Amino acid sequence: MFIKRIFLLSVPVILSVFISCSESPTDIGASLLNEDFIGVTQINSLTDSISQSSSSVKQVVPLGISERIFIGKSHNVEAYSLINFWVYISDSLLLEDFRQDRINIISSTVQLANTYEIGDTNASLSFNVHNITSGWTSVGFTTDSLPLLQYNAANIGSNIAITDSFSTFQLDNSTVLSWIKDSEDSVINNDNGIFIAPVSESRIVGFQANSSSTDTITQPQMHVIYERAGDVDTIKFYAYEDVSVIEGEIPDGNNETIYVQAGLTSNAKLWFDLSGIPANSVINFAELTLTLDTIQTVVGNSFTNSLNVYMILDSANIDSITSGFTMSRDGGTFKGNITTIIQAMYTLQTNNGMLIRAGNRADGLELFAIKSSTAADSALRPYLKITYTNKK
Amino acid sequence: MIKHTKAYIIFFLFIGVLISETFGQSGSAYTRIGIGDIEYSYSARKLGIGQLGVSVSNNDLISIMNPAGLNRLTRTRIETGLNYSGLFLKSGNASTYYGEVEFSGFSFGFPISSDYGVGAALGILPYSNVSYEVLENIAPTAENEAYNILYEGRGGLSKMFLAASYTLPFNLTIGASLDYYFGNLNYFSKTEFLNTQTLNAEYKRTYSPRGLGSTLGIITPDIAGILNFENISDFRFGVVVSLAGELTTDTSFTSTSSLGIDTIAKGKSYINIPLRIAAGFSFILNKNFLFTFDYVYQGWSEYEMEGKKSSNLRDAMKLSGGFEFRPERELGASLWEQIIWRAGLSYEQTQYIIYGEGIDQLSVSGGFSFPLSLENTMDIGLQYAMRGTSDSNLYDENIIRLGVGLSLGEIWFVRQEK
Repeated sequence: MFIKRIFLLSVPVILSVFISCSESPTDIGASLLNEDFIGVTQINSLTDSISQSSSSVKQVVPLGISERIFIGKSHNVEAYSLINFWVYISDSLLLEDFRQDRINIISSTVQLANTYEIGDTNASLSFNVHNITSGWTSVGFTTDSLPLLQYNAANIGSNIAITDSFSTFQLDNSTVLSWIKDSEDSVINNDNGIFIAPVSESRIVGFQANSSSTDTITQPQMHVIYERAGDVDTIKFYAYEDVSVIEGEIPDGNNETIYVQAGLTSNAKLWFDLSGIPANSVINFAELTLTLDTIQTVVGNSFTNSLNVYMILDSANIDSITSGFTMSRDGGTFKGNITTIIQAMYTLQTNNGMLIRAGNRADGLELFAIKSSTAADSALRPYLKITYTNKK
Repeated sequence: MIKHTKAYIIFFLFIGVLISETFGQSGSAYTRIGIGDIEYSYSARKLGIGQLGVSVSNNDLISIMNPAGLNRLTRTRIETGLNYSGLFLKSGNASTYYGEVEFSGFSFGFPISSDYGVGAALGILPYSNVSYEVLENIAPTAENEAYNILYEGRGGLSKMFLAASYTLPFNLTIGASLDYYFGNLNYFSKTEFLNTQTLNAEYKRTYSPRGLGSTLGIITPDIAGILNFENISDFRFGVVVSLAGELTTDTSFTSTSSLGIDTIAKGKSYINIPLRIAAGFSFILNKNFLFTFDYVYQGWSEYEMEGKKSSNLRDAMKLSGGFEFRPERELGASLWEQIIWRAGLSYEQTQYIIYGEGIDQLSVSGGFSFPLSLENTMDIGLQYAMRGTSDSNLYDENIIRLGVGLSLGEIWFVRQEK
């Protein structure tokens, strides 16, 4: 019985040992499999006559979500900002003293934390500040909203001081006093904040915007120094709403250059003819390379050095796009793996081209000048390399 | 013992399915042609005597090759097994070795009437096997990076059967089975890149045939008496015809990319399995020695897939001879005195013909049955075969096949006399 059991149980073990002796597969017999032969081919837009086209397209984007507000003028854009402060005094006696003109405002200073610069950093920055007289909200506010904005023509700002970490300017005390007096009045409320319009050229500064994720000291704020019954005191009001508006036009590339710009916003559209890829192919790898015109490219001191590329789903609507893929900076080019985009275009038989955007459209004003599909030097044009597998 | 036997069946089946599912891979690229290698021996016993045995009927074996051979069953029997194939391939200076395990099926048979030779059986068995794995290493060029192309074939045809036998007057036994063929023939082509940024691609072609067939067989009465052979008994002839015919086949052709699976083509077609005819004779010498001689023919040149014949298929035939020594059952006999020994030899003109070269196979086999108890045995069969040619850019194969089976008999369905 013992011998039988040993014999019976040893059989699966012996089989397992034999199985583990298999070698790795070789190419013996490959010639018999001609019905299943496949092969890999690589093509590129430079040497394989893949036609392409490119253009720049402006897209107005609300910047209410931006971590920064911008003020100034540089290269092709002008940056305006709107800020609304939460003017609220919890001390009812103090508020009453303000209302009864028993308090004298000595100064009203707006403080902004510097986080970004673009253009000539040695140039001066000057701007006018206006009292906004109509209601507004940062949600969805764009350049199209500016014509509807009402504000006083008088400049209520003065003593602009720009340093490395903070910038300040003073506001007209009487305007601030009127905000304070009306702060509890639900009928008369003339506190709609300030509209800042740039005057000087060649420099834009970006400041920390109202955000719950940063320290209080970096938030836009207004310091009001006042005198009450001989005592001097300070009260701070913080911004609860702010937004920037960027105005400008896409530069003329003269068929040599297309532009991707954050803030404005300018996107690039790119299209490649994929009809040369045989039917029933599988895309193994696709890489897009864009060459920068480094002379025309303008970047800030702190920016996202990448582009995003998307597949356009609807040729009539550039907002109808897929999720994006990042193109990283590699010297004077941007390179990105767009295998999934090309595979989708090929599989779905839908080729409306690709949209190129700045890596961060809201927190900077970078202008990336990219060699276009009609650039004189064909080696500098957008370069698409595709590796695919197909049946032989 | 019955309890332990059942436990061991379950353990054996579990290990067998686990091993075959996990490690069942890789054989000959010849199996890309047609429906692959044809399985002749459904048990380790038949493997040991040359795989056929058309005219043989035993009381302790479920005869699947010829359903007429079910006439002698005296017990309810359960049979199952595993087959291991070791394949040595050689082409020019290149050689390799593959090992593969397959589950050889499961059958259940029982006697109905010993007076009329009525026996019945049902089960599921492999009919053909597609198994290969071929790898081409493609060196990098100025245009392309290095990559591999992997061609794989997996699957085969299986058969479910329901068979019965009946002995006519004059001891002529007839048998018939209703067969249901089914399976998947899967063919893969894959590109595999060493650079992880470059995605792999896969193409898969699948044929899923299914359909009904039948097997008809006869075994003649014992003609030893007619021929007056003194020491020869149980001299019989057997003939069996298997018809599978047209199997409805679902076909699909897909590719796999970064976006998932894309169906390139899908449809319905048919596969035409040609008729198989087998004939043979057997006899017992001096009560203990069984000799069997058989011939099988199947017209694979008439095979069609999707309405097209294959230029790589020809008519196949197999000649085999087998021998079995079965000792007398004596009380007090030791374990070793109860072992049944087998040997066999066969020559096969396989269905493959490639570049004008026919692929032939010469096999020698042997085996034994080890008694577990009165009606239960563990069967071992071993076969060594040489197949193919290294001419015309083909390759030689040396095949070792080990079959292990369980044949268990119990008394079920006993009618109580009132």
